[in-house]
Amino acid sequence: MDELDVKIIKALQENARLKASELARILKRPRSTILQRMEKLKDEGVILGYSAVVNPWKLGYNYLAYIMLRIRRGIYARLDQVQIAKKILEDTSTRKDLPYVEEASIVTGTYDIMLKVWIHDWAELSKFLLNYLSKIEEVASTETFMVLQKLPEKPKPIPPRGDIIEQGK
Amino acid sequence: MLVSLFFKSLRLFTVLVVHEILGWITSTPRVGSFRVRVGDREVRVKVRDPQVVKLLQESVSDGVEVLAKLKVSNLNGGSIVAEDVRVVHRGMVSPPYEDVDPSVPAAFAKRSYLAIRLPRYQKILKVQHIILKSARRFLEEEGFIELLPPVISTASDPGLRGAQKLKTVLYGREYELMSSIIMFKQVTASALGKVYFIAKNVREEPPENAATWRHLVEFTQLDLEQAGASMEDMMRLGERLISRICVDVLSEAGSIVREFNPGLECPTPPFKRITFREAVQLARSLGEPTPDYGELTQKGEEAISKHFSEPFWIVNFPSASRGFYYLKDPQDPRYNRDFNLILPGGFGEVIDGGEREYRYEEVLARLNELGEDLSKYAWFLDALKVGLAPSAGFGLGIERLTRYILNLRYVWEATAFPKPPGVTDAP
Repeated sequence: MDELDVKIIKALQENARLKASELARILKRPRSTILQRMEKLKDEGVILGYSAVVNPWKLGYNYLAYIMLRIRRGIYARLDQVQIAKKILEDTSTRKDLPYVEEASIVTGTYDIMLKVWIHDWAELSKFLLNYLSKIEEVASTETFMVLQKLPEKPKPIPPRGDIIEQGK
Repeated sequence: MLVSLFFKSLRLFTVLVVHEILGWITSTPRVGSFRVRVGDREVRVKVRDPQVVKLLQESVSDGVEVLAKLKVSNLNGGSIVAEDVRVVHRGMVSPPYEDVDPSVPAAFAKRSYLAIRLPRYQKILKVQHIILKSARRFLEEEGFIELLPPVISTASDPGLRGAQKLKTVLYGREYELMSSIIMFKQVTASALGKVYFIAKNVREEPPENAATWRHLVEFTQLDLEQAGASMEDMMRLGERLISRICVDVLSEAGSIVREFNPGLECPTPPFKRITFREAVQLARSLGEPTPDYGELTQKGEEAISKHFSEPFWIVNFPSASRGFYYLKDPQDPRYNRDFNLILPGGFGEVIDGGEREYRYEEVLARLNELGEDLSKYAWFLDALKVGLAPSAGFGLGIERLTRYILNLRYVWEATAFPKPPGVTDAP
């Protein structure tokens, strides 16, 4: 990734609706170069996609929680932690009676999986804990952390590493 | 008697796990298997050697329970097999588990040492442990500090809704067992700001209160107090505390809750609130005669509780029927700045709290109205003269909350050593 790639990424992170021609004008490069670079960044998996950044609190989610899961290992476990994380992500994306799990991370430390969960009300959270998570045989125990305040409110774009070094100079 | 046995059968499989467990053998061993109780689990242990069985049968007879150390193996996650059994101790008589029937409070309380051996009561106590742990964690986060409660004092809380205080004698002077630590909360909150106690309260309840299924003579209160706080502050805190405890219990003991109370839904704060006057109207409309300025009757409270599906607040009780330590509402002194949290489904009151009277003259006047012996309150009156901070707080019944979360019929199932109303020979 060179300086032009970094500039393209930063500009698109600010505004993903910029057209190639507008980017070309801002970055003072030919439109064909910009288009080629954008295509390359997508092919290499640097740019994963372009989507709207929405406010979950306006979509009917009133609570955010992090739920930590400890997973049973050994001969009793049919699924490993990655399979369990995938199952939870899939179930919560398709079932309307469950809260929405935005992320499931496999982590080091006391717990094995960390879920970022958007919740409508405490009854929905109760059902998720009581009738879903505790029914997964491999889940040995859980701990729920309710988010009191999330900062910043709008997700922060992750800057390219080179940019950080540049800023540090 | 000590029996040491070694199992010598030839194994074709790889032994994956070998554990040593200490458990009570609860069934007479027969060829094939026997049952062992380990903590809150009862497991079937296979035994293959007829000699082991014969020796065990000699120890485990007449229904007595035998404590044994067992070396057991799991083969590929399958059956638990005893490799070695060592008897540690043998009971003298068969345990009368048939007496562990909570619908007969006297027998149940007398046999509490037996109830706690049973998986049902071990699960309840585990959930109660999570409730206490969760409350402590929450209050720590909120900046409260835990203090150790006193057990006796010259005077305890006189506002007990028909219950009596227990008395004792210290160096010839009459003392009372704590029926609530209200005055201690006021003086400690005044000094330290945010405080809480996990306090034992003793009240001789009228024997007929056994019929409510939600009274205990000796019970545990999470008692907290905050200097400078209002009743609204405390109600918000109480809501968050209840919801948080509920989520923590579901997180840590989901499978136990599913067994006891599969429909439990943690309540979403803020909770609904009604005034005492509205509660009286509601009780009357539900067919329970209720006086205007008295207390809600036990039946009235139960009827209202059954009317709701989520916990709710009753606020502003009549000042004449409540303790001397509540602050009267300056807008209408017939009522207090106080609140109760009522659990739904007939489970009834679980939190009692409010803003406190902190002015010497007012407390003196209230104690005189009640006809209390002022000499018993001398230390508290002295503290009021020195100056106490305005404060608010509440007490939360731990056994009642446990009963609600696990949907237990009787509150005496929610403590290791219950003393139900009217029972005299409980340990």
